[in-house]
Amino acid sequence: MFTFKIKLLCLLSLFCTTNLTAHPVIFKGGTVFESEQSPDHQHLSLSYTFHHKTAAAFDYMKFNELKTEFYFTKINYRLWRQNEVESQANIYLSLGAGQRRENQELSNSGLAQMNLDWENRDYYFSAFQEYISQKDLDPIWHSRVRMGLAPFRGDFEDVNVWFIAQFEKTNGEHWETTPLMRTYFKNILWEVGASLNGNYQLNLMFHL
Amino acid sequence: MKKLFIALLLLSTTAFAKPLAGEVHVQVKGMVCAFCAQGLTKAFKKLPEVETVKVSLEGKFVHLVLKKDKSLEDAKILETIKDAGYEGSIGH
Repeated sequence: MFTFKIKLLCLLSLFCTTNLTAHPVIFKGGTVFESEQSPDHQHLSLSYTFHHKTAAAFDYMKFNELKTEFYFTKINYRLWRQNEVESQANIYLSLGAGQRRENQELSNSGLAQMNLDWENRDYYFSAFQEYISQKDLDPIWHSRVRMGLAPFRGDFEDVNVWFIAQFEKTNGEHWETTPLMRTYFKNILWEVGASLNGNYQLNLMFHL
Repeated sequence: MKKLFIALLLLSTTAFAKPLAGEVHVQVKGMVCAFCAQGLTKAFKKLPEVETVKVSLEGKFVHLVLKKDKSLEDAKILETIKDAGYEGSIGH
């Protein structure tokens, strides 16, 4: 049982990446589709920003090895934003509810996330904390910090590239380091990386 | 003479008042990411008055060219900027 929980925590620590590839709330009327693929899991997310501070989202996650799936409906709310001439900063709160399915058995699950970020055209920083409740299992506490550097300043019509160092931990686990390269052009963004343990990570996102 | 001057002043004020026509230049605070700013072009292109939209991260502005004989209220422009998460100020 202990090994099972450790495996579950390790796998769950991966799926949260998509929550940080972009802001949880974008422009009013904007829809975001996100996909994350790794050897162990799949994650699809669809969100719609219906107010300049609020978005509704649906997340689907599948963990291949454990044959476990999660479905979450959640609300993302921008608590605070600071726009400066050369930078911006945000704090977001997300609350969700959903189902966990394992071996065709469904159980309730809850989700709470706090996300803060700061960025300018050269540097990027974000911190993320997540809580997931599970019936008959310990809740999951997941933390992540990201720091990014742009090798050059791309403008609006250019291809933009970022190098990102990601550090994350789940409950009592050690911090795991994953270098990523983020690229975006117009309304398409993708990230490619591999953890120091060798697991690849491919993230894709686009605005509709 | 004084009344005439005041009348001309009021007339000129009216003439240069909103709504804006032709081209509009908006300085935007917080616009540092091209991917995030895609919403600005999408939102402005939805407006029937707008012909073209140019966004510059380097210049920190959005430049609108309006359709012939069309105009756009300041408030509508600033609301569109706000809906995308930014703060704008219009240069007349």
